[in-house]
Amino acid sequence: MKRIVALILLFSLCLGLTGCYDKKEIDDLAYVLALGIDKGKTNTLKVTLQYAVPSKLGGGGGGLGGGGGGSQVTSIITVEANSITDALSMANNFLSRRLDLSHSEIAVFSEELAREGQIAPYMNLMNRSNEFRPSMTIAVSRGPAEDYLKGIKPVLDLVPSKYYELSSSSYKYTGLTINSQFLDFYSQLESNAIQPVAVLVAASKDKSSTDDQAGGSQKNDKSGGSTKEAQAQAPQQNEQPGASTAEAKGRSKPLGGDYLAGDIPKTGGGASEAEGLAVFDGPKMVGELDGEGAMDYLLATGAFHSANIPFQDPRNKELLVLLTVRQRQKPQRRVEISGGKPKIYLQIALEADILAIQSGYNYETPQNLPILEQASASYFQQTIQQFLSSTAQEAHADICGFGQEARGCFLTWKDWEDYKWLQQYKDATFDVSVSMTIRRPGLMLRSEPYTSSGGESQP
Amino acid sequence: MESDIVFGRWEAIALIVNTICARIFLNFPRSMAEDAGTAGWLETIYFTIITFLLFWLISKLYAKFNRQDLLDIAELGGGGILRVVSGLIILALLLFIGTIILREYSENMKIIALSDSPISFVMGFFAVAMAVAAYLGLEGIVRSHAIVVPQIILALLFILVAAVPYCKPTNLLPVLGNGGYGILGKGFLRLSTYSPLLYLFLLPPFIKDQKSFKAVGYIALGISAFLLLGSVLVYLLAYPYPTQLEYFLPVFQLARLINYGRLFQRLESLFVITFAAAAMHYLSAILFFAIHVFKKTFKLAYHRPLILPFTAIIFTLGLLPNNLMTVIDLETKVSVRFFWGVTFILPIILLSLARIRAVSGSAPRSQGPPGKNKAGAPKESGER
Amino acid sequence: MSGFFDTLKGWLLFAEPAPREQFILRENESEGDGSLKNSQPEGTTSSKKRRRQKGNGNDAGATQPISRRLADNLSAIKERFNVPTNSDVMIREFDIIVGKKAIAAFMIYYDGMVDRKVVNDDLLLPLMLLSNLDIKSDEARVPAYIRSHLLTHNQIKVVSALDQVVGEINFGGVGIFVDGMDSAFTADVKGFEHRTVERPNTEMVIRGPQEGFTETIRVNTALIRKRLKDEDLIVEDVLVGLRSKTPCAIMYIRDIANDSIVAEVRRRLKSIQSDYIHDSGEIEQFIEESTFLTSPHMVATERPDRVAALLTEGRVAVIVHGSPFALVMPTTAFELVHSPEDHYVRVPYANLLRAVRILAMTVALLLPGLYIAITNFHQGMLPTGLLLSIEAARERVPFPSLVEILIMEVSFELIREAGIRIPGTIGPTLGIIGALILGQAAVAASIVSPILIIVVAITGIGSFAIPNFSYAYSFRILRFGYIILGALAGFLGISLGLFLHGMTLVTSKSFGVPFMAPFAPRTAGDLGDVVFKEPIWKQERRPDYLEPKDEVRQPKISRGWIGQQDRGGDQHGE
Repeated sequence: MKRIVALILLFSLCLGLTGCYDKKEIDDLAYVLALGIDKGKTNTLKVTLQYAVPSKLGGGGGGLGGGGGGSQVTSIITVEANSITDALSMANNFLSRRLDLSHSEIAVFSEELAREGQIAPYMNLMNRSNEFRPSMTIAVSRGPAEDYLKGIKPVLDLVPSKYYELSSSSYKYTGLTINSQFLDFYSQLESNAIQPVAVLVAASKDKSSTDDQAGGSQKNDKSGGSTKEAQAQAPQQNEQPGASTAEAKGRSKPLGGDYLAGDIPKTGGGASEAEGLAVFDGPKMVGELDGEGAMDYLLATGAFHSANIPFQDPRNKELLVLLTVRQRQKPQRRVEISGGKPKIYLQIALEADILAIQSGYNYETPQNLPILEQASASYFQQTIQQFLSSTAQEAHADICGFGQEARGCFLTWKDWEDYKWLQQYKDATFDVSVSMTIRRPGLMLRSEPYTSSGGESQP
Repeated sequence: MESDIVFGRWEAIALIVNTICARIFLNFPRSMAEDAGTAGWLETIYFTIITFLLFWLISKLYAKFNRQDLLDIAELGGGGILRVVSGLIILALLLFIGTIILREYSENMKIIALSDSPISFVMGFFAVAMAVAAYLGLEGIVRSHAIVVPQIILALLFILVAAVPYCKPTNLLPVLGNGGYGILGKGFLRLSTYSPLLYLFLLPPFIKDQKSFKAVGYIALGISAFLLLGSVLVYLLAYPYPTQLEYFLPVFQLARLINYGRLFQRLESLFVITFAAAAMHYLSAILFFAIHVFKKTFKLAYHRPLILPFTAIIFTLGLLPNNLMTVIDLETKVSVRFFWGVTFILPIILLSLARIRAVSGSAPRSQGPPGKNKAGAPKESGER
Repeated sequence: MSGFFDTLKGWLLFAEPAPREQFILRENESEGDGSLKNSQPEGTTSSKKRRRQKGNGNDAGATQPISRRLADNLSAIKERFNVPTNSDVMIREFDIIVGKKAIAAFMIYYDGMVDRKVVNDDLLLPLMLLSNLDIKSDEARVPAYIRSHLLTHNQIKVVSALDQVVGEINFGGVGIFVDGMDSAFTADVKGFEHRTVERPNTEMVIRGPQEGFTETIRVNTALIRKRLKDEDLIVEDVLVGLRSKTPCAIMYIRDIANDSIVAEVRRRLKSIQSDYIHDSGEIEQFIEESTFLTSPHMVATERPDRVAALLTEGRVAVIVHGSPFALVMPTTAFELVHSPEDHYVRVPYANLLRAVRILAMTVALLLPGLYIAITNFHQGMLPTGLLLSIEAARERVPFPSLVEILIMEVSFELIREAGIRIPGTIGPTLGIIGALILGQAAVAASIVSPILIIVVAITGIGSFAIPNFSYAYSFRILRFGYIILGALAGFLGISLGLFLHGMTLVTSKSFGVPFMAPFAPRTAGDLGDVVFKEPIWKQERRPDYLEPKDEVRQPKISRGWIGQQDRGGDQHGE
């Protein structure tokens, strides 16, 4: 027993001589919340870091001192360097605390870098290092990432980390963005069955909420769900926000999903927005999709939670029917290889609750309900079919990952590799069927007409 | 030879299960993915079946020898020379594994949490745990196993279950993975995963009777097989094929996936406690068995003075490899290729030799199989 | 100087160990002094038979009649009450004068259970002095005469069976045997202390008896004996201490407790060579096996109901004159966390209390260490909002967090120690509140951060929730070890601490019983009352690791009102 005590004491003495490594006091570190990576002018990269300044949060001395809006709690620095870690070292030449990346919520790459396929080298650092989380959001910004980060001034949240966490999960109830996590992005980069996507973000063009010019290229000619090579235009002064893709899709009024990030017509609420997604073929970005494309992507991959979607009323093209749509079950996906060409079957089952019928027509009866179901199902079917065709024919990128099901047609890995799915995808044909069931009408079972001096009118 | 210490079934089972499953925390799922691609789980099933068959064979051969461990049987088979030779082989295996495990777990800790500390600092923690446990005796070690191993298993199951939201069944396609050679050929060598079964063959003096010995073996194999298969399956389902090959610590990566809402994220550091507990128990068992084998091989009287020198030896050997890649390389080249032989072939040879000599009537000079007739031998309050 | 070198050599080189006899608990072998051994076999069986008969209800036709010969009665009584060993049985022999003859008689009672004044004045006095029996020599009328004329006590019974006498004596009665009579008198002269004893100071329960031991040994043994009205409850006297000759009593139930435990306790007590023994705490330190281990190996309790319950499980209690704490041994780590209230309270509440206690133990031991480990090594684990607010709180604090937490823990211990000496019952309460106020002031002065106050306060409260206060001390000491280990290497240090702590707990033994039984070694028998409490009607067996002589405590269906086939459940039998 004495020997054991002696051993332990000796060990502790030795430790006393060497000290504790790795002990980093919690307030000796500065926590980076967001990372922005642009193409640099004088060097390879321009890295923008947004880190938290906790002393502005208050909280010492037994009470919360006012922390002043979200913008004062963080601070942004920009460094030009040749790699991310080099940027951190250079930043620590003028910051006092050691920069720690273990709480970084989002990494934003600029569209320039993405289109040149320059993202891949930085993925290796992010995968290897223990500090980056697998659930970190990867985003592509239309315009410099620096502008996006500078535009983040959350009005509702004290700490921007909550802003990031909440907005990265907004896809669950809007259906206009996607869940783009680093782990998925990385494994999709390496996979020969699926190609990566990233959420699109941008700084708003809305002048009232930014201090400096929000750059952003204007995308005018976008067809619904289709992607083309976009011409990067020089940012113009006095941009008109609100350039939507609705006209190209043949709609008189744009729906919420008809915008890309940066084009949302709004004022106030912070100068950063997200909508749509960026399509990658390998490490190179080949196109963008607007909010509706994001919704199609979510539906096809089964990641759709719920969204409030407006449809044109079948009886009155001027008015809308609003439905809350959910997935009834995960989509059934099947791939057949016939004659060397893939044939893809997609069956989507949706259910919905009626939110509003603007015309007041009594769609709630069992006779009229199928009209609504039919109309909404065909709407979805059209848009998803168009979306899938464009990924195959224009982008040649299997972002929905049908290759994962296609693998089942082969026995060994070698056979699968030899088939070269990613190259064969462009000849794929799609067979999409959507079934919609409307479940509940909300609080109202029927609508009565409004009255006025002109008599009753169906509103 | 009998012993004063007797412990019950559950303690022996926990000992063996911990030693086999400590590998899961290091690199087992990734090795399966390297060998067989998406069919890693098939490979696991394959060599588990082979192990069961081999164990059945060995336990049948063991039937005549009650409460005698491998070294006693070696002595019965070939006298002192064979005992010394087999003892040295087993000792070499134990020291090698102990060194590799010590170094790999310390590197593990360094990567997860303590990246700036020197490796000797981290290894010092494990070495102290080993040495103190060896001083406190085998009883304490197995009792601690009996209490802690269920918790380690629960933690492992928690990680596996929590990773289920990320599992996609399509990640197992194509079904046959890397094909026949990958599954069957390389799979056979992977029998070395079950090489800790060797400790079971060193245990009979401590276990009450033959029936318990067999029960312990089968139950321990069953539990380990379940855990190995579960971890491989979940790892293959959660990470798609080429990405699986990249990670050094598969189970840690699965723990990194835990993400329930905004509060329960990044819980992977909590599992440092689980990994460290598994490592410390494993290392204390190895150290004790190394000392025990050494003592028995050379028929020494006391084992306590051996503890410090052996700890120092393992510690120093652990510092020898230059980097982590060398360690993994060594493990693949030496331990995977040869240890299955030591665990399964060596006992079969020794048992057959002993049987032949026993049958042929030339009773060797050591005691015959005792144990059955000594009723009322003093025993501790172990399992009833 | 040479002593130093010797010590160093002792550590580095190997010396052959001196053999020390370890106490190993054997199963049902009786070792002990000769008298017990001889009377053991028949005593066991006859007492078992008797117990079964006793359990079959009131049996008017008892087995052993009273003989006319006084000597037979005397030897029968002495055998029943184990008189030489059982020291609080009093036998008073006297003579009754009948005419010219002197009829021998004797009286038997338990000292401490009877009211001496009544015995003297109303029983002995009339029989010895006023007994001028003036009768014809009609034997049959002597008992009636004595009863109706001589014994001036208000409750006299004439019984003709030995069992009835024994039953009366067990509960504070006195038995009077007269030579030549085939019946005996019993009188109810209860005089043991009741309700002048106070509430126990350290173990308060809401539901349950509120009596605690006092300093007199006979009172204490009577408090236990009035709960266990069992003649097999043996009270063995041992005098400890060469000058103080402190009376200690070893109490055990003869046909349950394993003989080797009793013998071991007896051996250790009798071998204490010391001048002056004053308190059971000193006895505990003399007879325990590992002095430097932080957890205690005996239960020290102030409640007679707890001691009685533990005795029926097969343990041995040691009561020391002059101390209100009784020692019960052997014990396991899990029993130290049980509170007597668990047994009196219904099952759902009892399990809730146990869960809370387990949480309290974990918190009291590990919370500061975990806090240091997380905030210094594993900052990634915290949710970002919490991390930033902790950091904001620490902005103005000039010390590193390790120093901070050590300051606060040490101050807390100081306040606790000082709070004991504040007069009155508000002392401890004031201590805690004072600690929190002090903490608040420290926060305002920016010496510590507010979250640390919460950590320290919860730790302190957790350590109070542990029922056994000496066990709580062990956590208070080890907590500092975990803080240092957590600051050295984060979770790796904590796991090293847990491993070493666990190993030392698991290898230690308390009177031959492994400290972590029944989990390690895994003994047979149910785990009904170890961590969580099963309903009381399910606890059928005594703890197996104590190797009691009689394992079955209650039959499988212990609620008679449920039919034989019924397994419990609701009215539909489900």
